[in-house]
Amino acid sequence: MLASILVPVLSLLAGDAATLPAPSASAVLEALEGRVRELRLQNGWTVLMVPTEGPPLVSIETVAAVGWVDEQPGETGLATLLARLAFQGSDRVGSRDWTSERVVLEELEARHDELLRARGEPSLSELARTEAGFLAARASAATLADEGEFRRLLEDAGAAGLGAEAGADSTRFSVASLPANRLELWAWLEAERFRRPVLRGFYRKRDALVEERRATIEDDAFGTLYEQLRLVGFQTHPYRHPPLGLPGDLAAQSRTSAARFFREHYGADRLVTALVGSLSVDETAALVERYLAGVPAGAERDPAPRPEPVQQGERRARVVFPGAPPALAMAWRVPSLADPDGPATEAALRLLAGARSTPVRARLLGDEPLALEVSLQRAFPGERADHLALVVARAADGVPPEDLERAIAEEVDRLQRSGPGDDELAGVKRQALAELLADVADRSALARRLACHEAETGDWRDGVRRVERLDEVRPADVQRVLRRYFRARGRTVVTLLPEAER
Amino acid sequence: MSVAVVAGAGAWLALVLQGAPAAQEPPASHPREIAASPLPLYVPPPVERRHLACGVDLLVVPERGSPLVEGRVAFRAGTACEPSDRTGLVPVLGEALRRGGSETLDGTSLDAWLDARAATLEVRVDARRVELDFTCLAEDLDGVLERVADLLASPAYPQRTVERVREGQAREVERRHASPAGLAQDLVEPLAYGADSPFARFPDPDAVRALDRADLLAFHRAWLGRDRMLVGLRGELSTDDLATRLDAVLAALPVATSTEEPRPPAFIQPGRTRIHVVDRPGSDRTELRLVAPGVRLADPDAAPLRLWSSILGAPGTGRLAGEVEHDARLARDVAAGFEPGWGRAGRFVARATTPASSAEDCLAALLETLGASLDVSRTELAAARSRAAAAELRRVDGPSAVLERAFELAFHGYPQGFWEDHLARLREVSTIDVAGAVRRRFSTDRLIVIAVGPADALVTGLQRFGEVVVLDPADLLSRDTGQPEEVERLLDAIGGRSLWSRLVAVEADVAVWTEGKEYPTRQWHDLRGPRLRVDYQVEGATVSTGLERDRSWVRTSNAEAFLPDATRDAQLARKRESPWELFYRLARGVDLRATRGPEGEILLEDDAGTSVVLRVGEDGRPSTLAFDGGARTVELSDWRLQDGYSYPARVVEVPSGTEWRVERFRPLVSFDPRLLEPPQ
Repeated sequence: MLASILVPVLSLLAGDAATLPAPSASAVLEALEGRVRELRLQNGWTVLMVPTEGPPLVSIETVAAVGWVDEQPGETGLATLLARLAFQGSDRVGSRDWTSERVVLEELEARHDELLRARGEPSLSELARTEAGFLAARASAATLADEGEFRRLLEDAGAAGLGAEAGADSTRFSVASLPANRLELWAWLEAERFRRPVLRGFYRKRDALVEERRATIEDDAFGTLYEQLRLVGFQTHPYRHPPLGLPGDLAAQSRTSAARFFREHYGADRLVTALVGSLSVDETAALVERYLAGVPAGAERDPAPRPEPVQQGERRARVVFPGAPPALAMAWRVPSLADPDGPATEAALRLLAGARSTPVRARLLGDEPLALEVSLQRAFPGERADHLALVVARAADGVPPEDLERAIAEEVDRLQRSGPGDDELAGVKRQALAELLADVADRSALARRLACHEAETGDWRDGVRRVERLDEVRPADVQRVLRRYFRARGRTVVTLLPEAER
Repeated sequence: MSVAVVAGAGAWLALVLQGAPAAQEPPASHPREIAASPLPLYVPPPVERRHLACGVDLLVVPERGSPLVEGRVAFRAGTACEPSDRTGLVPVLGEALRRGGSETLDGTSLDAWLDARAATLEVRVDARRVELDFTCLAEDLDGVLERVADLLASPAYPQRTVERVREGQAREVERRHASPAGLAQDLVEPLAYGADSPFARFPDPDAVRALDRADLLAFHRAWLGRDRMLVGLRGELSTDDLATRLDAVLAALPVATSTEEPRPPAFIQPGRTRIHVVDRPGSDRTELRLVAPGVRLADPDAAPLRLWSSILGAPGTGRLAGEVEHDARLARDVAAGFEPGWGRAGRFVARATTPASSAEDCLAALLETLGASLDVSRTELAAARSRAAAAELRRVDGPSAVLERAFELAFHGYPQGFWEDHLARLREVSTIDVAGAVRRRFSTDRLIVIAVGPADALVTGLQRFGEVVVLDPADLLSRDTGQPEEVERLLDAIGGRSLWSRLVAVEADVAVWTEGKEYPTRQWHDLRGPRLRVDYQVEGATVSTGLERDRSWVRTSNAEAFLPDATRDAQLARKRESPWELFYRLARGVDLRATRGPEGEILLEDDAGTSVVLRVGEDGRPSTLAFDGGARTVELSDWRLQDGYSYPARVVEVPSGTEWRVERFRPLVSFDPRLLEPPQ
């Protein structure tokens, strides 16, 4: 597929050369410009279509510009929960008998309200009675639901790689592969998902998520470490919201409140769909007009959350977790993707800890290893606003987290002082280009790159331009951003220890 | 790949997915009303093949215009080739090979070299292979090939790297086994094929920690030779040019010194359902696995069983998920299906995670759904075909997928048209074929069930489904028994070390001939200790005698007595000399020393004074046991098979002439001690 997109460009580049030279990001953008067809429906839904050669398959990525940042206090975790409910169907799909199910679902909401009220009262017998009533209604609703039908319709049509996942800035709804002759089925179901969703199985999924929070955060050392990193690294911005919500928030949600959140935030004007594969642009455009144009726009969007105040000093937290492996997360506040310093910051992070041979990894994992594992996250938890860039390291036996911290800080200082060599920087640019080329070669990855950037920045081209912009970064730019952002004042350090210090 | 074959596949895809186009009609009221137009014919990119002068087979998928190259270099050698006392070697080798670099370019320098070119190189391993996968920009291909060849020709395996890798992998095994799901998964193969099968060894962190550099180098030399190598590439490549370049680079690599392929394992199916409970005290959930024999991919039943698996076991949408997960709410992550093997029969596995308190109900629901699953409807079959058709289309989805498909077929020695033939078979499968295949290949009465959860909450309830064995996974670990190779061969000939070492007791009906009279008996031998009971039929009456630790007893219908110590000692000695007890103790390798005699016989001794010379017949099975320095021998013959155990049905003692004829042999992997109590 890469070839089908790039051949005209590469033919020009190659000339008489025996081996194809790698195209630049600009050449890739030029090639994509000639392929990507944009369609903006009247309701605001943006559809990107990229016809490619290859088997009669299409990859589809719908991205809603809704994530944890859109949750208000008290409703944290809802975006993740709604992603988990993305395949529960509608009134027309997923019900064995909608007339009866609707009545039972309304009854279930009444029982849930009653249960919430009873939880505030002293009478245990009343609580037990209402709890029993709620569980009975829930069981009754389950008998009328066919929760697998939505997914089954797609899978029986040959779809694979179905998923829905919420992030800080957006939520993705994916079909990695669909036979090209089943696009109409997908369009029907996609419209149904956003127009007439029925959040059936809500309380079971909600409770499963509460349990998941317990297992993966409260009972998990690294889950706790990441949660503390959010809470300490962000004091006002909703990037501090944990994916599974703050304790108690999810348990207080009802199907009614979740449905309200969905109506308000998942309107067509916040949706972008990229379809990449063996498709006819005209026929696909007609299909999406017919099915998706009827999805209503959402409520007027809240203004973007206020930026996190400038960090005035280093922040620290210490997580004590019995039996945990000693570990360290060292994070720096870095600017958003759109910021002019974004590319140089990305280059700095790649230079520090991106690949195996980078100084932080070589120092921590080299001949005298300080760590067992090292990972870099360039954008935590999102990148639409100022965010954290972080290195997480799990200490080798007998190595205290302080040694990890000292080693990372020394490598940052070294790069700040010396700046990167031209070869090092060239290697980083080449890596970003290779990643772009790999994405363009992969139908599903290309759909994701295009849809995510269109939803988050308003222009799919930014998915390629970020590589172009990276290509313009000079060593001095890297040194400058390292001095500006990677200093102690903007740092957040969370250590994980197996037991409290005496 | 020929166009004709692919056209067949395309035509079939069109057949199952076709329908009338509906471009301008009003929106359907339900998606089931939406018809689909036929898919266009798709011809995948061709795969070009060469056999290089250096002996290496090469597959190339040319991709015009691609600036990226993807490569695979695979050796026909994997974890199944590990020596039995070096479990975990190959995964350590794979990681240490990549991280340690070569004698000429150490791991750190290799990383820097690759990073500067935005190239990747990874090593992955499985039971049958060690494979180096790389990606790079086309302009860097020559350099990357040289680096790969250098790594293979002179791997460094630095001791410090080996130590770090083995520690990391040992911890990974420990982490996996701390998780009920990870443990359940790792138990499937040892319990299905026997932990002594090279394809099914239970991962052992201690064995991993005992590996050293010399082990890796020895394996590398033995197995990673160019004669066991298959190479595949895709990208903007000229196959002829590439063949010339590769020949030059790879010719310097040595050939493998080892050629003995491990034997594919055979599934050890119990006579009736056996439930292995692995205790996780206090756990609030149970991981269930149901395992049964499968088929090879090339088997004619593979196609109907694939469709049945899709109908029955698809995660989230199959029948099992619908009935056990969604409707009955007894479990989550319910899935099932046949996993056919390339070079072996593969297996059927069903899985579920259930609250510990629901494990019994969950297993009952799984078995009920499985038991009622012979019949599938035409609608279900059509949907399963549609899924399979799309899956086959994905198998040729772009040059990378085409390379992978062709590579796998070549690696496993399957014909390149295999998937097209499989598709043709899928097209012909009817609902009757599905029922027939399932009936032939699957039974809910003879499953291996694994339940990882709290034993105190599980054992009693699960007994209604079959024999329950509380399993300590440590029992599956291969041990260095210090026994000669002859013992391994002998055990292989009678069912395998794993099978015999798992035995707990034997129940047998034995006719004893002595001094011209026959005494029918029923016997129970507890192999784990001095416990035994024999019921004799004497002139219409039952006389029971037995051992219970330090006491020997006899009981008739109107009397009972403890016997003298001398009788007890004689009983105990006879018990320790019984063939099945000797086989069990040999398999356990714990309290019976075995050495090789001058003529290849096996000399057995223990601290209790047992001294036996065991000779092996032409079929590899024991033929005679000589006791008391040869003054007394027993001859073993008339070998029969029960539940995978080979046992001698006729045992004759010389010179006494006493003969034992085993009329029924029932190996027990769980045992109710009440059987040993005297009859009331």
